Amino acid sequence: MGQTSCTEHFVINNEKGLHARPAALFVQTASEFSSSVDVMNEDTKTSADGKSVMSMLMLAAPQGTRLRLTITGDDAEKAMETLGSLINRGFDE
Amino acid sequence: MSKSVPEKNARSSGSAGSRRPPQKKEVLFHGIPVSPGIAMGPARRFGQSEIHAIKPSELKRIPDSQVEQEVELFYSAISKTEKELASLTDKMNKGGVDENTTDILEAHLLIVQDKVLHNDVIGRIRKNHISAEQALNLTIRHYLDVFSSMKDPYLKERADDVKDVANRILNNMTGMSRSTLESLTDPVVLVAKDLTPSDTALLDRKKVLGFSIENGSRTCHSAILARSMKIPAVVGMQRLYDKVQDGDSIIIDGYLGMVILHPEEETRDFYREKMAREKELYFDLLKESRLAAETLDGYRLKIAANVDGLQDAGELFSLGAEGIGLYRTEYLYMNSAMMPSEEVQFGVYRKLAESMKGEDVVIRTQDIGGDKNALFTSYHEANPFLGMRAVRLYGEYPNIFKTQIRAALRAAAFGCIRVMFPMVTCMSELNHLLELVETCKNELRKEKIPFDEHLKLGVMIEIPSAALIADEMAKKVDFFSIGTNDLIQYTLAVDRTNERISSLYDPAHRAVLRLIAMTVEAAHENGIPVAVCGEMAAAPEFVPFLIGLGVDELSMSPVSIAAIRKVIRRIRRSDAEAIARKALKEGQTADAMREARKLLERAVPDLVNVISHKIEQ
Repeated sequence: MGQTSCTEHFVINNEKGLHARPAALFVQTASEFSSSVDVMNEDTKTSADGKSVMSMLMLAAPQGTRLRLTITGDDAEKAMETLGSLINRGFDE
Repeated sequence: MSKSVPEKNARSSGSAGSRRPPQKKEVLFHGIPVSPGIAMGPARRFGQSEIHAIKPSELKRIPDSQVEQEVELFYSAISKTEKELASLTDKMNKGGVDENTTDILEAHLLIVQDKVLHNDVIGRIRKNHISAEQALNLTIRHYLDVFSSMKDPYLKERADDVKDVANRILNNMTGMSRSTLESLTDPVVLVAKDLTPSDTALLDRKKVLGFSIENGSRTCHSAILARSMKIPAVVGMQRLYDKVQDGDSIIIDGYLGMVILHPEEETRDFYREKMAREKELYFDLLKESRLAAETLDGYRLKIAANVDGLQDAGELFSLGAEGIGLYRTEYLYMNSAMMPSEEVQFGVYRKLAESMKGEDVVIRTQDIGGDKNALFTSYHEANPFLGMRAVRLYGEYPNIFKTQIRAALRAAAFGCIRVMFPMVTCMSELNHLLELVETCKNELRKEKIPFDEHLKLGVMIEIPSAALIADEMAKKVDFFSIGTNDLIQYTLAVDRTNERISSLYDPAHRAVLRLIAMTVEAAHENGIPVAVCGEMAAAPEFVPFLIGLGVDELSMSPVSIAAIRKVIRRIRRSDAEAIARKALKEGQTADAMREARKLLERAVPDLVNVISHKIEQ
């Protein structure tokens, strides 16, 4: 009940890509939500758990990488809005 | 002093390797010799652990029963690392470090807490039956491989973060129980930044041919342990660690305090010959090991062994020990988080007493603190040698002392056990300890457990204040044992583990000699014997001093006994007394020192040439 799943596409636009600090920020933010967060690097077709920093680092996502976020759960929409905005702001770097 | 080394070796290491020639050049390093002997073999670095590649052949399968222990070990390393990072972040926040730095630390913390990492490591432990250490290594290597295949330079650098964090976890893991030291398969020469006494105690004599450490001094506990384990060792070996790679050919000369890296064939031959000569001399020395330690003019001394639980009685007897003058009980505690129970200690002491077949065994109650830490005490003190050490801990942990005393009282019913107290500074401390012994006796009486009513008790004289009131202490105890290492350190205010001031550490300082003379006089006036159980007892050139001052017993690392017995058997007490009298006179100590050396050169020339490294300095 109330389980929603949504998918959206983003592009990493900060200069240094998804390195340790942005990855950590993403994971911390994602972990505030109960929904599961799946992140896919559309260039390499590898997926990562959005709540694991190790997994996110392994995505190998430099500037310009296209990401697909699939979020599933009660607060999926709110999570998508927050995480999407984080990526689009270039992780405030 | 290095005249016995081929000329071409007598070069300094300073100019080594500005450009690396195809064949690695022989390099000589100088340090402080602490444990005699020669070790030759492949080098093995031991320092901070680092994530490294593991060949499939190096993977060691662990038994099923150990799998969950390894998982636990991993988790406790994780929580230790979390705490470490949190306190580091805290420190940085207070220190006003920029946000980027603390952000990085937070990212590191997230890596440590990462479920994916945990599952990968634990999965490998459970599936492949390997240790947590190996599983972590494999997991991280896998991550690093992925990183190195990334094209983006910024992302490639993330490998460093992961490595950094993984090294932290690894060190928390190896520091806790097992260590690489225990997993050695072939004999190596250990080259370390530092070895804690508990690391040293773990060394397997068959696997570690010798060791060199960057820190330390002649009297640090790792050096003392090396001697007692008969492992050739050199300390204060600056700059070596970074120049050595695992597997490099290396020689440790524990007589002269040298390390030769990449020795040429000629040098190796020279040392092979030296090793053969050493064996011969030692064999010669042992021929006298059953003869009395008596001077030419009939003064009989007793020679005993300093022991830490690693040697067996048969070995001690064959080396010529007439008892155990110092049994260090710290090693019962150091590698365990818990204090051993009375039953366990009773068992150890009883076995010890029985195996020594009626010879004295002097048990020193625990001397934890200083540079020896037990896991159950974790004080952080600015000045540990002047802090909570030895008897000073007994107030806070009275059961440590009582458990030991009860075990010793009971074991004394089975052999000649004696007990002595370390680090006593004043009469009230001593009186309190003696009262506690009475309490233990009363308890045992009530519990109807057999014990020795007349257990002999002694005090270690290792602090100047104790030596200065030795006359008062002598009335309360059955014997004295002078711990010269600490007595020198505390008299001269020289930290014995600080190599920068090691030249100030002077056993022949008149202040030290006077304290020893006072102690002997006080003891003999009260009819009790005095032993010396410090390193001074094992240094041939100081034997004339100690005999001259009237010491009754010398206790030392078993490895030194044969040589010291020979020295005693070749000199006269009257000569020793003349030397001691001179040494106590203003302005004549250096002269006395020279005379002692001359005496030895005349009396035991072969020994001076091979064993005693300090004579020529």
